[in-house]
Amino acid sequence: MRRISSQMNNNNTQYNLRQQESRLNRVTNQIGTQQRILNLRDDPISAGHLVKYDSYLTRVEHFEKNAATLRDQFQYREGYMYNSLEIMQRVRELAVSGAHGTYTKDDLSNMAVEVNELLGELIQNANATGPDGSSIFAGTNTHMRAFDIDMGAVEGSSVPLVAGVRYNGTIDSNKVELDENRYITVENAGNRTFWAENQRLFGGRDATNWQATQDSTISVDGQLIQVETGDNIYALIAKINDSGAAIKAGLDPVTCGLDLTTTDARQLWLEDVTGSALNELGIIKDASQRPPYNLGDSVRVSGGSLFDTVIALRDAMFKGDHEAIGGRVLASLDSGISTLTARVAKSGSEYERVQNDMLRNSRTALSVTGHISREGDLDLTKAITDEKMLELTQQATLSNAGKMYSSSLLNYMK
Amino acid sequence: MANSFGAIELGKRSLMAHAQQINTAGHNISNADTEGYTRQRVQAKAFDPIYRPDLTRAETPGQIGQGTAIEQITRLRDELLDQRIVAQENQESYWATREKYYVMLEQIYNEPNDVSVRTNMDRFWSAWQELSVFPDNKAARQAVVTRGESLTTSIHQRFASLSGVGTMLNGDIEATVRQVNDFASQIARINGEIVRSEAMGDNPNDLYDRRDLLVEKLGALANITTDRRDADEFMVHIDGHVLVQGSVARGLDIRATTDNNGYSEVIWKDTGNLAEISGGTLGALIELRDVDVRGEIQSLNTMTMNFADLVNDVHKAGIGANGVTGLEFFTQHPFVTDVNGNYDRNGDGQLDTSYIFRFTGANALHGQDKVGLEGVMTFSGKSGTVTVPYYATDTIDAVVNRINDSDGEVKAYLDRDNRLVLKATTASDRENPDFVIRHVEDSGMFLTGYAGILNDSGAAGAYDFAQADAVNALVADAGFSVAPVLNPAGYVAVNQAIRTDVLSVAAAMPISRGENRPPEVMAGDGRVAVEIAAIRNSQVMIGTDRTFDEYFANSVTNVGLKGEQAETNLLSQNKIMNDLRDLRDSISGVNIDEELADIIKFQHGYNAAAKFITVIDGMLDTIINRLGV
Repeated sequence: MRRISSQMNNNNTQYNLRQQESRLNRVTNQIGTQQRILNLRDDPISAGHLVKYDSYLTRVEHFEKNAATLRDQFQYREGYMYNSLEIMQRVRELAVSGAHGTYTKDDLSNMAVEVNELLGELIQNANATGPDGSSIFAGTNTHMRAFDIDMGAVEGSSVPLVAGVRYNGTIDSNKVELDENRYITVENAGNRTFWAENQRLFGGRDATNWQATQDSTISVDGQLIQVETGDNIYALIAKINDSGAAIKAGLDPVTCGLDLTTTDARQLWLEDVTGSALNELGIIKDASQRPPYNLGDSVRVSGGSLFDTVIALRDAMFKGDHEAIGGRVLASLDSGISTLTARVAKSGSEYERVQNDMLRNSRTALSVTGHISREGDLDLTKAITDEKMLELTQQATLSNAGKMYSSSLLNYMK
Repeated sequence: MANSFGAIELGKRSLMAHAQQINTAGHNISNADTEGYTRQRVQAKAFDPIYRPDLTRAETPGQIGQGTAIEQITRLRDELLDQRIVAQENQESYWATREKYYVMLEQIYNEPNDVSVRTNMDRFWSAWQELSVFPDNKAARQAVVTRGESLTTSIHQRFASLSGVGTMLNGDIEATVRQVNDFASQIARINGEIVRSEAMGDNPNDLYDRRDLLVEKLGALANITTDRRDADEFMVHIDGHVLVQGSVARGLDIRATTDNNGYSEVIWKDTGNLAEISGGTLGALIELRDVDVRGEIQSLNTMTMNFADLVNDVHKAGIGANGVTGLEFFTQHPFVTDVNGNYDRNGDGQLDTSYIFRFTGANALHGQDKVGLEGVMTFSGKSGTVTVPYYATDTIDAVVNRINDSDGEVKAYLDRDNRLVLKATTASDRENPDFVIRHVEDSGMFLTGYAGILNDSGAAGAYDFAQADAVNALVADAGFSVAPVLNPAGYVAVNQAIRTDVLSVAAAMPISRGENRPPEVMAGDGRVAVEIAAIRNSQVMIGTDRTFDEYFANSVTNVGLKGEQAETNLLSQNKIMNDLRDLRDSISGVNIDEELADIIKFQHGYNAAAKFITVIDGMLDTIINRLGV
């Protein structure tokens, strides 16, 4: 039999009470905070998961926000593009009518006035700004107006009219993260949306004897191409053609200069990033000049923007030139409308993609929240029943402790 | 025949013996709740009888009993159990100390919660995400800066809290050393008194109790053992070294050190040798300070160092909305101001060491490409160097993973331009500086011609930090950055130039306009912002963790597991010690009812002895007064 000292009961009761109070305190705090893990030690593995889920949720929520922002941007971008397409349809109607040859020069002049107004509307659309005042169609140069206009005298008009439209923006695009390391490329280059024809560039300087004297980098339509010391024009042409840029290069049979042609309707964009290879070839001026207005003096360029086409239509109408309207202008208009339609379709597809991303992220966020809840939230029913049980045990222990020294031999000694 | 008055003498002895027994029971009751008290028992024995078996013996049958006498008063104590308790209790106090401090460490993490370093970092990345979508928005730049400041503040706070715990531990260590010395000298003093008392033939029970209590208390502070083989020389050892020998106490001392954050080390007072203390409160405190908290601070430093370096690396390449380029987003105080990281380590006035944190190769690699080369790379490791072989059929990714999986203190990854980056981790040996690449060597061509880091293969072309201008071993186009000041987590801050003008936050890539003109910036360009935001979930090697997510999850799990371990062990040690103490109490503890019953018994004995004397007195009265002689 184990001997019991008078202190032992007291010590054990205190020990048990300490344990119970600690457990009760934990449950009470859990109920108060609604969290299962109050200290990391409560469940370190779950805490690790929780931390990961929590950070992941922050990211997913941001991806969802990014998608929502893009969706809004695409929505108003598409509005302007769609409206421009409607304008172009009307311009085409007028062009088709004007090409009949049944209207007189005066009739055509009257049509030209409408075309001019439509041109104004088109330019206005292309210079549209978003809710935050940024240019929508200026690429990444969002603080600038996308297109500048030059006014000039036009035959048949008594007032100066828009004679030229220049692109101010860039062709750079931004990447926006829509999922873990998955990006959408957001490209808003106005000179690709409002462009009618493939552009061709004919170099005027004989390049056959050219050889790169230093390593350099050129940018062709945004693609970086490394030019190495010793490369000749044929090597350069091969590199451009293999670069993946929407541009094909070749050697001009007449001038022996470098010829460049875009493979779809877009403006040529050429730069010397380091070194001066393109400058040496006479294609562009030095690096101080910004593209697209950096082309060399000896270079001839063909292929213009949607505005150039509408201006050409208007001017042909003022002149009463049926042939030009029905021929070159109409073909160019069709090409421009086709480009714009393709861009509207692209924008619509991008809209659809971000919409899907938004939905997916929202669903992911919901399930991650579920995981967080499973790992970190309290099972209230269990906590409350646990608390009740602990309270009961504590009451029993306290009641026992109260009676601990109630009976003693002292009660019976005289 | 016995003396006529012998019976009175016998009765007197009985009275005295019972009185003493009642006194002892009273002493026990009085000390029922005295810490360390052991119940005492009077050992009574029958007094020497007459006659002795010699020639003086009267011709009477049998010996004549002479009543009772007190032989001694003893403690009821199990010495083997005492030794077990002393041997066990350092475990209890060890875990109790760890448990207490880990509660603090867990609270510093503040996880899972809304206000931790991690959540601040999440917000910082979110701000970059926001800027990547709205690069022309000044508010988004302001958010990046403000959240960067909140993040650095929370890193500072965590650093300050961790070093606060370190300082607290250091203070506790110093106080505990004083306590150990105090107990040791008290034990030594009591030893002296006990020996003197024992020499007089006494049984100094209360001094024994006092000594046992002190030994028990000392046992909670360190891993001690006691030795009673020599009855005159009670000894106490700490991890095999004598602390108390009889009436002599050796004692510990503390000595401030220059490394290890200026914390002190525990030494033996007389020899000055380092005292190895493993268990008990003191052992736990030293381990917590030099291993746990140091590890936590190193881990925070690693995260901070890598984080700032990664953000700066991208940010420096970008351009702010105001056209400023080449700015670091976070300023870190370099350990050395020398551009080549040169440092005079031994203080002899000559630059003798290079403190470089990161190398970046000159060449762009592709992770899936086969290396096509064979060789063995050698990197600085935890102790000495480690070798990492590579074979012609390995892909670059495989080689990078092999470097990271090795035990070396150099980690690798491919950066955003696919260049090979080698980074130093913290050093596990306190002798070595943190965040310094100490040795890089390649017997083949991978690190030389292929990745573009080292100039030459073999030992002759190796990079070794133990020389000035060690960076001369690197390829001219290779990048490197010098090591940060000790504890970068305490110093990292958002660059003042960015704080004063938020337009300096670089969201865009600069557009070159020729050599003599400043680069241009496009307002809507967010390419740098998106690249910085991508650091969050890319494989960038934070020490031995691959991503930031992994780092935070691992550090949280790690500290939680250690807390859990401390709590579980403490509970089981509590249980063990409770059982042992109960066992001791069942032998040595006072039971008041038992003592009261004894008192009743002794009272009756006393009364009976008194009655016996009265009877003898009556008998003598009859003989002396009534016989009428």
